[in-house]
Amino acid sequence: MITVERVIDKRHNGMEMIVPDNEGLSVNDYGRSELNEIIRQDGEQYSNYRMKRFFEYKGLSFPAWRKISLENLNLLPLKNAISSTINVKGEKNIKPIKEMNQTERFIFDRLDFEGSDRKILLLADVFHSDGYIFKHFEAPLTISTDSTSSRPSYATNLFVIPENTNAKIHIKNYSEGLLVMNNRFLLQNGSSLDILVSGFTDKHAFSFLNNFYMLEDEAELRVTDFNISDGIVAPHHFVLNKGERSKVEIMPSFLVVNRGKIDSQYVIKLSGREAHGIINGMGVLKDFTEAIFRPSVHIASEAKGVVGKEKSSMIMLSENSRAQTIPGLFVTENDVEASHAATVGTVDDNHLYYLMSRGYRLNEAKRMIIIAMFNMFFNRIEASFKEECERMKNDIARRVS
Amino acid sequence: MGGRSVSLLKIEDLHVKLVDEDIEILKGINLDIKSGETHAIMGPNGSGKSTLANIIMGNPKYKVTSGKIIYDGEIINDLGVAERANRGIFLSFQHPPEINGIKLRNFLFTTKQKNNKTSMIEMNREVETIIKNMRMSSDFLNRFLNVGFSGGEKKKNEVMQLAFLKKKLAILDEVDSGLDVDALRDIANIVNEYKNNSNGLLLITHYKRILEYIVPDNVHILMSGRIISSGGKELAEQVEQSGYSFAVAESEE
Amino acid sequence: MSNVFVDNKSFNFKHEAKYSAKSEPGINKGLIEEISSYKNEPESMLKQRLNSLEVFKNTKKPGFGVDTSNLDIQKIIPYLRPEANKGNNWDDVPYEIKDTFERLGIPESERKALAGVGAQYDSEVVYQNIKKELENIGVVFLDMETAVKEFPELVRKYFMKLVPANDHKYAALHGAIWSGGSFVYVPENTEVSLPLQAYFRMNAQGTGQFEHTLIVADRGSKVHFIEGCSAPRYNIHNLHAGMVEIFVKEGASVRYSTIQNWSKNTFNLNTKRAIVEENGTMEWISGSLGSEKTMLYPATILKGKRAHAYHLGVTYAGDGQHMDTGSKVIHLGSETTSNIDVRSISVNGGWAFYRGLLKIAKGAKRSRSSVKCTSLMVDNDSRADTYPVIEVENNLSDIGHEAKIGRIGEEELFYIMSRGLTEDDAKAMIVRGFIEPITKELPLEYAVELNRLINIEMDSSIG
Repeated sequence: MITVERVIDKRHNGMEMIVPDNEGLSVNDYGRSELNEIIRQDGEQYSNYRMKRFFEYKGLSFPAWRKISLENLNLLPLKNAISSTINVKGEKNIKPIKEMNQTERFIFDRLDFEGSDRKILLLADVFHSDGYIFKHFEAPLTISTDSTSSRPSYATNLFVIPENTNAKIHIKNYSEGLLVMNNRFLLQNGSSLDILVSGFTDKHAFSFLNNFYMLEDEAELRVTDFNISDGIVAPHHFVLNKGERSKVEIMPSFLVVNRGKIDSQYVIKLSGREAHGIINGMGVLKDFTEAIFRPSVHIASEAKGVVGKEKSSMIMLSENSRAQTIPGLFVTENDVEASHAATVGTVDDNHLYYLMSRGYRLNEAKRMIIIAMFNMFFNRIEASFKEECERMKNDIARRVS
Repeated sequence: MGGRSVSLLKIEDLHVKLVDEDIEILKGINLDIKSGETHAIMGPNGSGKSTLANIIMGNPKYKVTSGKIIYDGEIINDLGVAERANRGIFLSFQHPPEINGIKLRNFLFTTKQKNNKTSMIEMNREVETIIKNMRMSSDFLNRFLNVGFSGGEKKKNEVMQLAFLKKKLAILDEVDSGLDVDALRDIANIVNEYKNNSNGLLLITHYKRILEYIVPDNVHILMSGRIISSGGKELAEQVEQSGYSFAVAESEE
Repeated sequence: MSNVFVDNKSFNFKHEAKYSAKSEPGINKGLIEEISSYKNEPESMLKQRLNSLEVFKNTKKPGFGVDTSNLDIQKIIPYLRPEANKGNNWDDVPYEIKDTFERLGIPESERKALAGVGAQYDSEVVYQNIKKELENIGVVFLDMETAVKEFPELVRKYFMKLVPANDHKYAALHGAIWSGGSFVYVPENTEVSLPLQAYFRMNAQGTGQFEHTLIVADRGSKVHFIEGCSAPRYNIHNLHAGMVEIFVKEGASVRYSTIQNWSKNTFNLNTKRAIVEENGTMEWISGSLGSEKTMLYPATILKGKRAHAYHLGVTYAGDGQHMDTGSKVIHLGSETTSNIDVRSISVNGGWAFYRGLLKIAKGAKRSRSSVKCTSLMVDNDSRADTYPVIEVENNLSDIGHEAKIGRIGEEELFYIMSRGLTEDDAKAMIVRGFIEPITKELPLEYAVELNRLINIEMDSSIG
């Protein structure tokens, strides 16, 4: 039985909240023939699983988002789809998702969620050409995905982190075309996961990432989500702190350039006692870009002693960019700490003046300060992802102008 | 001993207001600092001391409505902040801002490299000397620019930049505020080391105390945007004794 | 300027059929004409009403907020007809309302008026005295219906220009059936030293459900208007769809204070909006306590340079209440500033949902805004949500937003109890402290009443 974890809880004590209807967009969609094409290589069990999801997929339409238009979304022939590349030192034991057994299937169904949009999530769930199940994390894991303007990429992965295991994962998404990736994580009792997701989206790209994490007792999660985008990118991270004393820290950061757009959503649902959830993000907008940042913390009844915090700062460098922040807090238990702090602005005038008084021109000074902000951010994960941090620092230095 | 009589900084009948408002803050300032000289500007709160310091640096918050600022023979009214800095003007901030993510050591070196190509070894040696003279530990250089610095540490950082960058005209905006005697002494030592025949120093202060350590050649009293009295260091004594009102009385004669 | 919340859809056939004049009695052209003729309105106002009616029929409900499926527009129809309210009976008024009157010490003479029962509240004398003083300084303070007739040009210039019928469905409804309300005009450079209170002119006809308040503060003027009161207002049908429009001209300053405490069967779908010109200031001080379901978002449009908005409010959501409230501030002019401080209290299963919009448009350069939302959840059955949308379209502004949700601190409670108060009394004291910034801004008698009311509310929920 699939139970889809939803973002907003629309009911309380017999009262109901109305939320906007999802308007549909008509796009040249995949249909039966594409489904048949893809299940040809599946075993019976797996093809049944795909079909079931396909029926749900068919009944939905692509969302007519107001800020980021999906009108130019073009679904290309499936046979051109690219697979992900897995890099693991010495790890040979990776199972293709098509070989999912009963237990794994059960876990997979438990970890179902809406994603940034159910239709888009199902697109990858139904039409992925590859996908893996990861259960061993002795060595750090790197997964790279690619998509070009003629070759889309659809992937669905399942990660089960065993009790008391520490895992480290880096997911790198390069996108020049359509990329949809769904990752489901189960962190079992006492396990921990340090994950870095870095995304680079070029101007023709549509990149969708849907990550769902379920944390059992004492599990700890740190998610670093980094994006440099010239195209359209929509990262969605949903963390369910089911377990007692489970902890999560999500650190998003982004730089959007040229005409890039980012619509990012970070949801933390705290239902286990004394669970902790923190979202601490920053973003920089240049040129003619748009960014929407949606952190939300949801605290369920009986989640006593829980701490939920959001902090975000958006820096606007150009007069032609638009930023939107929607920091939501939804609380049904009062023995908690829930707060948020958000700022939107530009680089502090006084800071700029100080640097200029030391001989740095205005643009140089701005650049220094922005790079310093990102560096502060990367320094926090440097111990775990040293090489990647160097890479990201260089990328930022290059693109900040 | 005074040096050659070349004006390092000459201010002629300067009128200044805030960009956003129409109230005049400086109402006709005249000042002449020759190479090798140390001038002190004293005045009560609200007299316009900080404004003077900032307008010389070119802070875009302020606007010159009339008058000239001449630095090293060049009228710099229309020059930007960075350009003034690169010509050798340095301002020690009264409230240095905290800028996260920029390591002090890196900041010092990068800034120095802008104007003189010095080797890393040389720079390291210079900065270590200064650190030692200020009785601080090298760890200080690994901290982020002013982040979490105490008042004294912030001022020491300003003065360290002054010494390290070897600027030509140094303006110290209330560098003594909030300092204990020991810190004041350390800072004064560095400043005195820095002083020579070809550079100049403008001390902006509220209290006479610092002038015991950094001895000025000239003292000016600034009140309500005007210099109402100028003299030697005895002027500072008089202010100490009789408060600023005496200077008003004097100027009215 | 688009309204972020509105979800305008085209024609809804099912809806149309339900209200067709042939099958059932509904709000139709005939009824509107009847109302307008009874009020003796000029032709232009009738036209405006009919226009609004059309828009109302063709607009879908807002696609967000509280559940209005139990709202039956049909129910209000009998009360739109003139003479309707004369039939109301004091016996029909719920016991708890009468009890609250008693506990708040509301004078007998006022109770019937508050309960919407036939009798006229005898404030006529008070009103006449004030009216004279105001006339001397050129201030106009009339009921809206008289103003429509006596100052047609002025009214036509402003009436529903800030919130037009097509703004949202309930604005359209209001435009069609509005009744009663106040009109205030303050001439240039005039300061009205005493707060004007709508309370003075409550009458049986308009017990306030669809009142339209229009305030025009001319250049350099200053006025404080108070609407509502903390005593419960009862109406038999269950909709409150009033409207407040405020025009703040250059350098003028307007403060609009409201305490609303509609009875627990009400849907409160009021619209409040102000537009501020250069150097003007608008202040909204709000206390929302009553009604079963509320959607209320006082809005300020900062149009001119250096215009300023201050929103201060508290929302109380008790048993069975779903309050979807918030504030909207739109910065259009440069160097505009806004300061928002909104608080909510959820008790006994209530649901307080803060919905905010802060928008800094491209041209609003060098603007600053600071928003603070605090929610106090007194017990564990309640819910508090904040959903602020912050939109910035230029790179020269500074915005800060913070929110906090939590309960009464153990330490604070213990401290107060250790001075001899029971837990319940201590909680009530802390809650009063929590709303102190709002009560501080209200005239004394309102503040006192508000505090008393909070006590009564807390009493009933804890008990």
